[in-house]
Amino acid sequence: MIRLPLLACLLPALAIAQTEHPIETDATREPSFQVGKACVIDNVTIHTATRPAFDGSVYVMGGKIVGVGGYDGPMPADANRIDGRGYHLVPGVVDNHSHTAIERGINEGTLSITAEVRIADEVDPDDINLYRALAGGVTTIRQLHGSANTIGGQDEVLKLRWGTLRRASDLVFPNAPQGIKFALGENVKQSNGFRRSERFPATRMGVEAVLQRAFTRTREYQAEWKAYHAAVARGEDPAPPRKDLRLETLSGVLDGSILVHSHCYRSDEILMLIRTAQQFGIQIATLQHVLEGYKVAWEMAQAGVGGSTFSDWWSYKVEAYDAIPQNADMMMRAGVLTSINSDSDEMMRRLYQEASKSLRYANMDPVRALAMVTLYSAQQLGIGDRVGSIEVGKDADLVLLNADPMSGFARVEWTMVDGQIEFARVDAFGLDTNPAQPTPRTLDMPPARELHAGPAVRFTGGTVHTMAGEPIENCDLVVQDGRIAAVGTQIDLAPGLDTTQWTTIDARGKHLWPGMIAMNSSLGLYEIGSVRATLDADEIGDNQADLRVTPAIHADSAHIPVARWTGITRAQVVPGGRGPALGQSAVIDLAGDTWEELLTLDRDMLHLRMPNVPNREIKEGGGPGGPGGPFGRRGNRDRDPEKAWKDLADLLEEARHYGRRVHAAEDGTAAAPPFDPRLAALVPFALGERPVAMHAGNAATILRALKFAKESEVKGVLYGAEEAWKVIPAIAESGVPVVFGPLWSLPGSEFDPYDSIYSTPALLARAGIPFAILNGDPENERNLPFHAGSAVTFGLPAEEAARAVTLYPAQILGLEDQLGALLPGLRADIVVTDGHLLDTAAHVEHVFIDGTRVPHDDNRHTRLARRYEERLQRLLER
Amino acid sequence: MRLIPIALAAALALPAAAQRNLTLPEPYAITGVRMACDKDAPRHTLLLQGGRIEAVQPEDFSPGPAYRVLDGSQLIALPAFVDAFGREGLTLPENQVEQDMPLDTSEDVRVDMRLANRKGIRPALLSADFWNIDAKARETRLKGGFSAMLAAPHGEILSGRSALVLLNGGARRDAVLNPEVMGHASFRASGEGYPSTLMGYHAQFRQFFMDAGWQGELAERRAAGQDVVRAAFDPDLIEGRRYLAGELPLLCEADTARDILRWISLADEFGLHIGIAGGRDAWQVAGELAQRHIPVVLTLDWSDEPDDPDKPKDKKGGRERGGKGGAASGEEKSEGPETEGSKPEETKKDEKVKESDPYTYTEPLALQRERRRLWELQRDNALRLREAGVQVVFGTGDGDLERLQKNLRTLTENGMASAELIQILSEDSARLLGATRDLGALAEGRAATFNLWSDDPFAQKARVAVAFVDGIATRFPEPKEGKGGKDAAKDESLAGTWDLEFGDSWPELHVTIVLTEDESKTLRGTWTGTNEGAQLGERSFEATFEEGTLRFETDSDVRGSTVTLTVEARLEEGSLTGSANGAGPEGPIVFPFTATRKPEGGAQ
Repeated sequence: MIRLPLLACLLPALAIAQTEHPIETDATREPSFQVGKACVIDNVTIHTATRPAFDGSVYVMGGKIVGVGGYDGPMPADANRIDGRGYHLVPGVVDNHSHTAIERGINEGTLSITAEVRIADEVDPDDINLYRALAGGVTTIRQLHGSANTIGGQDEVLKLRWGTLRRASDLVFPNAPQGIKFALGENVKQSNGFRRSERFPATRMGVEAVLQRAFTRTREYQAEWKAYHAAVARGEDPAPPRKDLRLETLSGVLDGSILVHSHCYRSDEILMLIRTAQQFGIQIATLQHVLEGYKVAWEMAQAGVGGSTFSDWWSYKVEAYDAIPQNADMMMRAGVLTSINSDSDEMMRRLYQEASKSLRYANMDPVRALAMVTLYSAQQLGIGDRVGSIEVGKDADLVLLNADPMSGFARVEWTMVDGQIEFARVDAFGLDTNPAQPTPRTLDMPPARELHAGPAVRFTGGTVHTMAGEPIENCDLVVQDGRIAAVGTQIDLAPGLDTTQWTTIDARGKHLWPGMIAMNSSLGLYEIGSVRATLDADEIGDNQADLRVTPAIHADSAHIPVARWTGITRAQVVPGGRGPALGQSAVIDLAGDTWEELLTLDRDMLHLRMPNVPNREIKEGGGPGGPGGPFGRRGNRDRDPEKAWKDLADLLEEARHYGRRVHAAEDGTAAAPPFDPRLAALVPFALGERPVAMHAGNAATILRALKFAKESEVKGVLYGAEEAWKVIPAIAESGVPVVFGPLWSLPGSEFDPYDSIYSTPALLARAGIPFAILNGDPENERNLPFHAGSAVTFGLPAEEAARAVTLYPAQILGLEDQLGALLPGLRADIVVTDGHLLDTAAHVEHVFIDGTRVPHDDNRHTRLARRYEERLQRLLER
Repeated sequence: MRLIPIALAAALALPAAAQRNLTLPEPYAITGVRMACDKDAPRHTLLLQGGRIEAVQPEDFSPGPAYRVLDGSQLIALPAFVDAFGREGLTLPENQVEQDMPLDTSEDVRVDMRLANRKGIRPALLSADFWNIDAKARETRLKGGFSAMLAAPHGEILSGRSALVLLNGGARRDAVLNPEVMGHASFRASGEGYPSTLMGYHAQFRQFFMDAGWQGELAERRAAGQDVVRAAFDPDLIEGRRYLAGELPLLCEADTARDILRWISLADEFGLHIGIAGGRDAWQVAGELAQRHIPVVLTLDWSDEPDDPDKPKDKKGGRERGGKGGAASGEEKSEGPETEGSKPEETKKDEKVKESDPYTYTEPLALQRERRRLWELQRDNALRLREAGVQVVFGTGDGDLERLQKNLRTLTENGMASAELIQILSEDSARLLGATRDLGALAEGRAATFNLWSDDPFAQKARVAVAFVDGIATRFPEPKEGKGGKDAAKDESLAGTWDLEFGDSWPELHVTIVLTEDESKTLRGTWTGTNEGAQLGERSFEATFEEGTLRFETDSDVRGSTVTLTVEARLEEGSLTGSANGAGPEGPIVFPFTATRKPEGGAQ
C-alpha cells in the first residue's frame, strides 16, 4: 500500500541562510513512486467526466483502465494499492490548443499558405513546461501552428512524459488524426503591427479569397494526379506530375484525412469559414478561440463544427472585445461539441479551474464542465475513444487531486500517463509539515453604531467573514448611512425602532465578505490591449513623479462593471511606463459616473520601477523581471544596473535637497528654488512621509530594493516580487510589506520549483510578512479572487487568502479604518456569495459599495449574453 | 640553438625559388626523434624526400650528405592535426534565393510550393572556390599543430560542399587536397522570407529532395527518348540527386540531441548518408549514433564553465579549475608571484564583501552544483561517445582554434589520454575525410605533413618547433625564457623574407622585404614588389629593431614617382603590423600593412 500524501521535503525552508532556497532538478522531478504494471486506486471520489462523481476504486493494468467502481477480472497479486481516501480521481486534461514544447518558430508566417510545415518537426521534449503541465494534470496536448497566416501548418498531438533522457518520438500520441491550423481575422490580416502589411490578405474579404484560391488550385492538382493514376492504370507510362508538399496537404484537407482547426474570433468570419468549407465539402473539426461563437452557436451546431474556447479572456484586441465567459455554455447548449483550452504555458497548469468558471458564470453542470477540458477536448481531436474520461478500456491517464476539480482549490498530487506516474508532487517548501497558520484575530470588533429609522439594509442569518477573526455563522449585519452599522448573531434594536424603511436580505446559506480591493490595477486606464488609443497607463519619460492616474480614469470603461461582477469593489489604479518614477496611483470604488465620483483616495502612493539586477550574469530567459517575465514588460534589463540605481538614489537625494530649499524659503531663511513639479512631487516620498511602491520581480532586484528602502529611508512597499520566495528572510527582516503577484506566473528559472510562485503567499504568511495579493492582468481584473484561490491550493489558509484581497490591501493603503473588513463604522463594501469568495465555482449574489447596492451582474458580458441567448432560443425553437 | 641549419637553408634556397614554378622541398634527415609522446618511446631518424617520408630509420642511421640534418633528439614527431570542420578563411557569397519567378505576395498567394525559391538551398556551392586563409591565421594554425582543415560551408539548410585544404601557404590550387569532401547542412537559412522556422526548413529540405528526384526522373525519361517535359537547368537539383544516390555524405550541424534525431529522421526519409557536426549533447543519443555508424565532428562548444562550488577558491578569487585529477590549468593560474595588496587580494576581498552582503543574491549551493554537473556532462561528451563506439573527430566550427585547443586540454585533464586525442586529430580525421594518403600518419611513403613538438601537444608549454607540410618546413622559434608577449619580441631576429599585405586600402600593392642580420646585428634589407601590376625597382635599406619595433626608410616607386617612405612596424606574435608613410606626388601617403614571414625552405 502506498501512503498518501507522497511528499518529500527537499530542504528545511526556515533554517536556511538568506539565499539558500529549494531548487528543482531532474533528480527531484523523478516521481517518488511507481505503480508497476497494475494498481488499484481505492476509496477515491471518481470523476469520470461522463457522469456525476461517486466513490469507489479504479483498476489499472498494462497502462489501461480495466475497472471503474469495481472489477471482477484478474489482477496481479503484487498490484499496488493506493489509498485515495479524501482525494479525487479525474481524467487527465486534454489541452486542445497549445504551443508548448515547440522550438524555433511557432509561426511560419512568411506566406499566407504554409500547409506543408509540420509542428512535429519542432517538438521540444526538454521544455520544462511539459513537466509543469503534468504538475497541473495535463496528460495530452495538441501542439498547434500559430495564427499568423490563413492556412498554417500541421499539428501534433502529444502524450506528456518527463524522464531523464527525453525523446520527441516518445511523446507522440500514436495514430492521432492529423490536423491543420487555419486562422482568420486580425492576426492573418496583420492588423496589429506598427505598419501596414505588405502580405496579402489585409482584410477579411481577402482571407476568404485565399481560401477560395487555395482549394480551387488544390482541386486542379488533384485532377492532375487523378489523370496520371488513370493513365498508369491503363498501362501507360506517363511522367508523374511534380509532387508538391503543400498541395498534398491541402488535398488531405479536401479528402478529409486532415482535420481543420481554425483560429477565429468574430461571428462574421466564423460563418464565412463554415460556408466556404461547405462549398468545398470540407468538414471543419473545431473553431479555436471562437470568442463570438455564442452569436452563431446555432449555425455552428448545424454545421457540426466544434468550438474550443477560453473561459474568460477578452479585450486584448478589437476582435476579442465581444468575448463573454458564457460562450462555452451557450455553444454547448446549442449542440456544439465544446472544449476549453489554454493557448498558454501558464494557463495550461490550471485548466480544471478554468473549466469551473463556467459553473460561476453560466451554471454549467460540473460533469460537462470537467468534460470540456478532458473528454470533449479529446473527442474534438478524434481520440475521445482512447482518452479523456475514466472508462474501462481507455488509457490510464489519471490525475489525483486533493479537492473537487471544480472547486478552484484542487491541487494535483500525482499524474499518471498510460499507467505510469509521470509527476508526483514534491513539497519543496515544507508547507505540508510546517504550514502557514491563519491569523487568529486581526482586529477587535467595535461597538455597533446607533441604528435609526432611516433606510438600512439588514442581512440575516448569513456567515459573516468580518476578517477580524473566525467567520461568524448565522450572523446578521446592518448597513446604514453607507456604513456597516452592526454585526452579530444578536443585534438588539431599540424598542420601538421603526424599520419600515429597512430592506431585509435573507442571507441564510450565504456568505458575506468585505468587497475585494484590486491592487496594482489598470481599471479605467486600459480598454483594448491592441488599440493604443484606449490605453492610458504607460507614460513615456523617466521621471514622471508628478503624474496622477486619477483624471485619466475612464469611468465608463467596460472593465469596471466586469470586475465588480466577481466582488471587487475598490481598486488601486496604478501608472505604468518606463520609469523609474512612474507617477502616483489612486484608490477608487467601482460605482460612479465620473472619476471624481469614483475617487476614494488620490495620490496614495508613488510608483517606482526598480532597476533590474540579474540574479546571475548568464540570463536564463523569461523569468520574472527578465525580458519575458510578467514584470519584464515593465522591468526590462537595465544595461547598467549600478548606474541606474545610483541615478535613482541621486534623484531622491535631489528631491530631498529641493524640499529643504523650499522649506527654508518658507521659513524665510533662503530664496526659493525654481519650481520643479517633478522634484516637488517626489519630496514627501523621498522624505519617507508617504509610501512608495517598489516594483521588483526577481530575487536580486528585490534585495536591492530593500537596501534602497533602508538607505534612502523611504517607506517602501514591494510590488510584484515574484521571486520573493527566494529571499523570504531578508524581506521578513526588513519589515517591508509585499503586494505579491500575479500568482498565475511561470517560475523564472527551470530550477525553480514548479509551485514556487503559487506557494509564495503561504511562505510570506508563515514568515509573518505583511502582504496582499495582486492580479496584474489588465484584461481580467475579475480573476483576482481566483489568484488568491490558487494561494489556498498551495498552502495559504483560506481566511488568510481572503484577507489578502480585502483587509491586508486596506492596511497597506492606510485605509483599514474605512475598508477591508465587515466591522461597525467601516464603509459598507459588501459582497454576498453562495460559496467561498475565492472559489471559482461560487456565485456573487449581491454587491454593495458604500452601502448602496450596485448592479453586480449588469455589464458588457451579461448584456451580450442576454441578447444572443434570445437569438439562440429563437433558433432552437424552430 | 639546434635549428640554425634550417635558417641557413632558407637563405640558400631563395635564389633558386625564383626560377621554378614550384620550389621542391629540401631533403631532410631528422635524427633521434621520438614518434610518440611517451618518454621511453624509441627514437628514429626520419628521412624526407620530395615532400614525402622516404624512410623511418633507426636512431643510429647515418644520413648521406644530400640531407639537411635536423637534430630531433629533444623533439617529438607527430602527424599533423586536422581541423575536421572549420570556417576560417571561408568568405561565402550571398545566396541567390530567387531562381524562379517570384510572386508579388502583396496581391496574391502562391498555392504551389515554388519551383526554385532557394532560400537556404545551395548544394552546388564549392567552398574551395571561396577559401582564402590569411597568412597570420595560417601561421596560428600551424603553430597549434593543425596543418589541414575541412573548409566547411555553413549557414544554410544545404550549404554546399566542403574542401579539404592543406595549410601550405600556396595558392588555392595547390592548397586544396580535395575540393569535394562532403555536403553540409544546417537548420539555418540566411535572408528574409520563406522559410523562416525550423519546420519551414524541414519543408524546404523535403521539397528540394522531392524535386531533385522528380527532375532526375524527367531527365532519365527524356534521355530514354520519352516525350516528356524538359527538366529545368538546375545545378542544385543535380547535386541533390547525388545525395539521394548516396554519392556524397551530408555533414549536418546539430548540437542538441533533438536536432541530431531530426537529422537522423530526415536521413531515413530520403536515404541519405549523414554525419553530425557540433554534437554538444550527442552523448544523449550515443546509442543511435553508434548503431547507425554516424560519425560526429565535435566542436567542443560548451557553455561557459561554471565554478566548481566544491573546490577551494584560488588566490585570484576564482575557483580552482580542472577535472578529476584536480590539475589546474596553467592558463587559469596567476603567472607571476603575488604580493600583499595585489589585485587578486582585492578581488578576494570583494568576493568576501559580496558573500556577506545581505542585499546581494547568490545562488544556493545546490544550484551551483547542478549547474556544474550539467556542464560536466557536456565536457565528458567525447568520452561517452567513444565508450559507445561512435566515431569522433574534432573541428573548430564557428569558434576559433584557441577554444578548441583549450577544450582539448580540458579533455586530457578529465580522462581522455593524450595519445587517444592525437590519433583522433590525425589518423581518425584523415580517414573520415578520405585523405589517408596525405594526412594522418608518419610512415614511409606518406606525405611529409607532420609536426615536431617540444613536448606532448597537450602539455602546458608544448609548442610546435617545426611544422612540415608536404615536406616544406616552417620554423617557430622558441620564445625567450621568462619573457612573454611583447617583451619577447625585443630579442627576436627578424632575418628572413616578409610579405607585406596592405589589405583593402591598397589591394594592388604587393611588397616583399628580405632582411638579413650580420654578426654585428646590423639589419639590412631589400624592398621589391609590384604596384598595380608594375614592377617596383629593388631598393636597399638599413633598419633598426628596438623594443619590438622595426624602423627603416626606403625609396619606392609610386605611380611613376620615387617617394621616400618611412616604415615603422611592431612585431607581435610573429607578425609585423605598421605602416609606410611618405609624401607622394598627390599628397601624403599612408600604407598600413601587416607582414608575415615566409616559411623557410622556399614555399611557392
